[in-house]
Amino acid sequence: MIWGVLQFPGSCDERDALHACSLLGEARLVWHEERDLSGIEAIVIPGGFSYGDYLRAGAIARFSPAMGAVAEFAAAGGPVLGICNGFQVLCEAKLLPGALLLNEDQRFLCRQVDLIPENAFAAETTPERGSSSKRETISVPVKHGEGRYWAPDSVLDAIEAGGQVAYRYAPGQNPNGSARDVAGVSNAGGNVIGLMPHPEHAVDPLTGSTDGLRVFEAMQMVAA
Amino acid sequence: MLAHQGRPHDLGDARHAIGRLVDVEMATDDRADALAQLERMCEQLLANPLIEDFEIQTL
Repeated sequence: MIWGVLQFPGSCDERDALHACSLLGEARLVWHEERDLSGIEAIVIPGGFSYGDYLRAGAIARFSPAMGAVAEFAAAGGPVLGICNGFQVLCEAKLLPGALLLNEDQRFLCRQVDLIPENAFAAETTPERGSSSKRETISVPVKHGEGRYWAPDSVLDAIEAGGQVAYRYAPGQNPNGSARDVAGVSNAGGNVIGLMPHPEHAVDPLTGSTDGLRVFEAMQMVAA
Repeated sequence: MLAHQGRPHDLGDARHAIGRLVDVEMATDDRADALAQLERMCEQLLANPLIEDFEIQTL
């Protein structure tokens, strides 16, 4: 599969995302001024501080030429994964419901968290799926200042009912005050997924967990 | 209630709000057109209506 990893001025996790994707196929960077996604079968919008995150996190990136192309790609059913700032960009672009607010304690945080896979997409990322393993969470790092997921109760009810909550933080591990412990959501079509934690930083045993790779593997199934 | 509204009242009792102020200069004399453009700008970029309120004032 051929992956495209967006790169905005101020992105900082595009290299790790590129590495994660290249473990599963071909991957190339897509500069924010590019509009041509031809040949690309899955898009990753990586973490960082696109355009300096001036105004609000992700607010300016939404208007980039590359994001215009991503919106068309997503509308055609193409798989899109937004991580951290990428999640914020997707919410600002209205490709995902809700918004990401300043962390509850107003501090930047960086730690490893356990996530509970919730919907059909995330179920594919459960460790050792199909084996005798009883582990039901995945372990990936979070690092953000504005990661508190928020949406009106009516929207939260709707996305819970519609299977659009992809991941929740494990009990007692909600690091930022996110509503209903939501760590990641998908769109109604299930092909656009956003999450605050960083699966691309958990693809090598060197960093303590390889659970993140499962998220990229599940993206391949969305594309199939 | 916002924290700043719980300030000591011996500092006075005036309504106040804390937020972001954006100065916009527009190259048009058409007030209605300018307001329409500003409204669009606020809804799509300057504010996220899901989490923020905005108010347009002309000076």
